[in-house]
Amino acid sequence: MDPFFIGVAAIVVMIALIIWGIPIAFSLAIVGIAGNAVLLGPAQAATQLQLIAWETGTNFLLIAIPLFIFMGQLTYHTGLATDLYEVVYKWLGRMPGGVAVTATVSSAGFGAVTGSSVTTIATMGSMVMPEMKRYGYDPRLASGSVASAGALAILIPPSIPMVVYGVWTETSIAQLFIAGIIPGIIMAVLFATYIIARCALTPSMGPRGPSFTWAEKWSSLVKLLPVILIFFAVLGGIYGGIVTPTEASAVGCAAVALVALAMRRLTLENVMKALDQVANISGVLFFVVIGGIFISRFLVLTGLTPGAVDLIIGLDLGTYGVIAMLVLLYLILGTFLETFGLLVLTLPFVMPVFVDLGIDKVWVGIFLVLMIEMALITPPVGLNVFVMHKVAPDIGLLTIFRGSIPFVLITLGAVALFTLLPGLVLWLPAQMN
Amino acid sequence: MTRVLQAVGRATRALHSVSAYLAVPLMIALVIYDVFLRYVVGDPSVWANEVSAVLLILVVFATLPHVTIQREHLGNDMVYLMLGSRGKRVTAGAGYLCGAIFGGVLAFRSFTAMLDAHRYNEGTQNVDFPYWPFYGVMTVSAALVVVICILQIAFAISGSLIDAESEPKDEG
Repeated sequence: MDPFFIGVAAIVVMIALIIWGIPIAFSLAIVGIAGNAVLLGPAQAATQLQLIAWETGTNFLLIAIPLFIFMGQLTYHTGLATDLYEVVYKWLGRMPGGVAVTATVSSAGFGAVTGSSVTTIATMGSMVMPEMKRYGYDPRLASGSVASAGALAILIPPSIPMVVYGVWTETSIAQLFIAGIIPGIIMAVLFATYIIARCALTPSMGPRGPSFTWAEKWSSLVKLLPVILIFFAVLGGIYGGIVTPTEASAVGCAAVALVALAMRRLTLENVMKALDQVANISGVLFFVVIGGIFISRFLVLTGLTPGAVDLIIGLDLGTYGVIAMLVLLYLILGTFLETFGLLVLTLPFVMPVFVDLGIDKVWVGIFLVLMIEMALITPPVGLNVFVMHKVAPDIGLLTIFRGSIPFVLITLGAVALFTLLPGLVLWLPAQMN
Repeated sequence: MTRVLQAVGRATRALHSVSAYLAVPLMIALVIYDVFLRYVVGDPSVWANEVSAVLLILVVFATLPHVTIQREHLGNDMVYLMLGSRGKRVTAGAGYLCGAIFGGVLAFRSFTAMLDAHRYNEGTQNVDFPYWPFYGVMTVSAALVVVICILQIAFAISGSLIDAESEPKDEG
């Protein structure tokens, strides 16, 4: 049988299994096993799977994933996010849509110490939603802003998808992390500006919060110190070339533990809860990655990957045309795939196209994270929207999805901006040691 | 059946505990130890990074049966939620069949890799840290996934699924 045909059939079966509801890791593995067995024989298929599992499970760079998850979980369980929220609220709460603006800026700040959008929404949502209800916020704006702001956590370093992308494409994870800073800040500013403008035009959508004296505002800044300390312990070390991202993840864990200990918030119960979650999330993520690597190597063998890449390049759309086409593709795929499924299934096809076009791999990494951000808030499979719905069950899924639409459009605008001005992404990593 | 379930539940929890409460803290400690030696003592360790990388196998594989029995694997439930009770059982059964095949292939090949690693004394380069126990963990975890998946298929056929460790629960 023609290997190319086997490759096409494998893709069709794999997508069908995923849509049907078979766990992504199992779908990828079973198609990879069957495909490799047909092409290379059953023994070779088993060897390939085992080798990839061992290679992935002993990759020093990937240690950063469980360690950054632990850092985020510990931050979550020790209540550092509450401090961050209170400080931002005192400074920005008085603006039009003040609570929503506070949620956006706090989510960006919290993302700097967690790297998980789900943790960010669960934490911020449970704090801001009662406040927004108290002020009579429009449910669409309220829920949509929190769900969208949570997605900033994976753009602002540390970011788990960036670690996976970096390892997979052999791109510097340190440069990816640093590259995420300016786009992350720009996105947070754009989101906040939209909320302010929308609430200034229609004040009933998001009334102003209480005002605080300058003394209260300045004195609140002390509470920012722990987050700033953790942020600089992680990113300062990476930016200065002192530690690698993997080492920074361990330093970050120690920094959070020490800060929590100094604040008398480090309990055995918190640590155990965080460790438990780390093992769970790592187990889930790694098997999607293992399955993804397994299937992508198989697709290269079939000749499907080079064929698809040639096809896209042969369309002669130019750089902007290809990027526009990929944005459309990700918008479609994002309707039924979540973060890591989206990443591992598209990278084998998308990466060679970008390489052929001569686009910087760091820029591509940021582009893909932005695409994942959109997938997190677009229907019908928007993970952030589901988490938001869990936090605020009285707000319907449709309302949250509709509330997220302006933020999806802003993200698309930001992608256009970063495409036209790639320096916004690439300037900071170019300054690294 | 209940005894098998209880045994699987105990083994799953024990392995998960190794992953969460032993391997993760050890990994953090080793990476920090290496950073400390490099910047404070000026004499980096030659083995800490190697050992912490191998420990990652424990973190990932020792928790695999736990996430499988807890049905925590990432998936798309868009179609699943629209299905009736029988459709859901068929979907769950098909998923566990895929899981059983995946676990079976991995268990078999990890077992042979464990024997090879033991026979040829494979291990880390800079310190005598053998690989075979880690291949052993992979084998046991993957084998447990097979057992869990087969039990789940049986429960799916009979109309119930194991939702939590050792406790079958009506799924419809």
